[in-house]
Amino acid sequence: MNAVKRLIGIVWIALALAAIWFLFTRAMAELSAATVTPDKKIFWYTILPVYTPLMLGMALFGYYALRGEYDRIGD
Amino acid sequence: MSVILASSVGTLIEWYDFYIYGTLAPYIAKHFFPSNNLTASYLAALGSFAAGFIVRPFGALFFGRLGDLIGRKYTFLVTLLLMGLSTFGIGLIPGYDRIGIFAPILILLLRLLQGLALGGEYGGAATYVAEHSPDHRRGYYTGYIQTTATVGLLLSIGVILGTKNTMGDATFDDWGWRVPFWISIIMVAISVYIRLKMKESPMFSKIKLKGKLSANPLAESFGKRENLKMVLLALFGAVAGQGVIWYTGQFYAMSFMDKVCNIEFNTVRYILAIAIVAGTPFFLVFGGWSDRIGRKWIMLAGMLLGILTYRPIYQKMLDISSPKAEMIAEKSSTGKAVTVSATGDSTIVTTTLKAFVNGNTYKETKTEKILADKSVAAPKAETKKQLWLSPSNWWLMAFLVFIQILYVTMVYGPIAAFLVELFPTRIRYSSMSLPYHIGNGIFGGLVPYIATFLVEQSKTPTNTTGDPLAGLFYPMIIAGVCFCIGALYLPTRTDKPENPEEDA
Repeated sequence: MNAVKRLIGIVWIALALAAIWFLFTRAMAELSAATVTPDKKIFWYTILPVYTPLMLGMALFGYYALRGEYDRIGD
Repeated sequence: MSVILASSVGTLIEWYDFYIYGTLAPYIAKHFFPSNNLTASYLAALGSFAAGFIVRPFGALFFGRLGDLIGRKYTFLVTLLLMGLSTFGIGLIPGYDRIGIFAPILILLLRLLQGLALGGEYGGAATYVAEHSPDHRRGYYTGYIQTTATVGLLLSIGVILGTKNTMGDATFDDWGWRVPFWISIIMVAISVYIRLKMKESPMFSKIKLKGKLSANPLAESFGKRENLKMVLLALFGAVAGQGVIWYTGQFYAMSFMDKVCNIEFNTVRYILAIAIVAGTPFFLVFGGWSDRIGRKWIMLAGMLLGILTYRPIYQKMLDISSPKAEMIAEKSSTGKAVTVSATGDSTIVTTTLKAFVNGNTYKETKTEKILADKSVAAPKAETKKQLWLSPSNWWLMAFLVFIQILYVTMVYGPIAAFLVELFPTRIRYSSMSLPYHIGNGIFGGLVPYIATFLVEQSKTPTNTTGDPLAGLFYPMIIAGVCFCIGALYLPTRTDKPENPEEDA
């Protein structure tokens, strides 16, 4: 089970990085559009600074999992 | 039990204070954030976001640190006072028409203080109650604290509806909306009195006496890998999923009934109130049950049920309130009223009433303004849609919301005990407050906003209404990831006997 926990750590790192990439590319596409509304601006200017550090936190969680930090937790 | 009830009352009042702002947002926007002023509108957006979602974790850090340094009792006394005075202050600020831009600025500042106070309150109350509870009943007793957020919402709805129905729509619209803010100060005064009589947590007192308090709780909580990894586990394995289930089951359900189903304002609040009343005892049921079988799988089951059933539940909510149902032709009527003002501007109000085979009734009021001065562009016509459900559909809707609240009780009932048990006494207040307010405030608090955005994004030139259920993807994805992390990494049993000296 510990081997699975460690291996899946890679998934959390990949997922976090993919989420950051998705958010930034999507934001760039929408904010550079010819008809960008104030609503969209406020949305992306709120979401990016809030979710980017959270996703970095998730990547750190994945890194800890990969290193086996959670091996001895629980059962 | 008296300790638990006494501390729960204060937390309940804080949630009440926090929610009346949200529930009265349209009135606040009208009096403080006029849409013809860009700066003011921007402040409105910033205030509603910053206070609810971004400021709460900062409050958690600030007051969490204080709580681990000087004690739980005095810290959550300060948060209660801060919240009460900020709320009362909001009710006193003159409108934009009297003091201009200072009105939205003052509102924003007070709202930020509300967010800070809430960030500090919950961790303190949960810790305080848990540290008074016997080991084998911690889930049940902290279940009382867990009811406070939902009951606070119920209380806010009750006070607002009571005030509105007592004084009438016109007076409420004019100044009556301030009354729920003023009432807060009475409730806060009672809570402060109760809290002053409470004693410090026995576990905190014990480690204080032995000189084993943390010198720097924040550095210890988030600077040491041993604790930081548990903070991350709590956030991504439990609280993020709990947050989205909580906000979907209550706030998104309310917003969906309001904006997508177009159900009449009071009806939505009554449906939610009934569902909350029926659901609230289950916080204690699941909290108590978690003492016997462990916290983990109850919380994860709540997330899984949400992921699997949200779409069919919301589809059913849509079906029973859809105006596409067959209409009874002879009961459809349209009326028109034209009024001309002294300036020569005319207002045309067109009212359309419809009755449906399923028993629902529908009213659409379209208000158009035609200006005498043709060189000025006329404002856009406003359309107000109101749907009244038939008795059977009313109860079916309440049942569908109740199911969602049941999921809320599954994820939220045991989580206070779970978080408390994850961290040692000396840094508990700081360590548990931050993941809670990020998970609940940011992941959860953004549900209505992101969900609405996703629905807007699903609109295309060929499908102008979009997919009204597209917004559910956000809570389903977050809960799905959280479920996988929780299932794999969370310990099945966290309810070990407390030993603050060992912890220290």
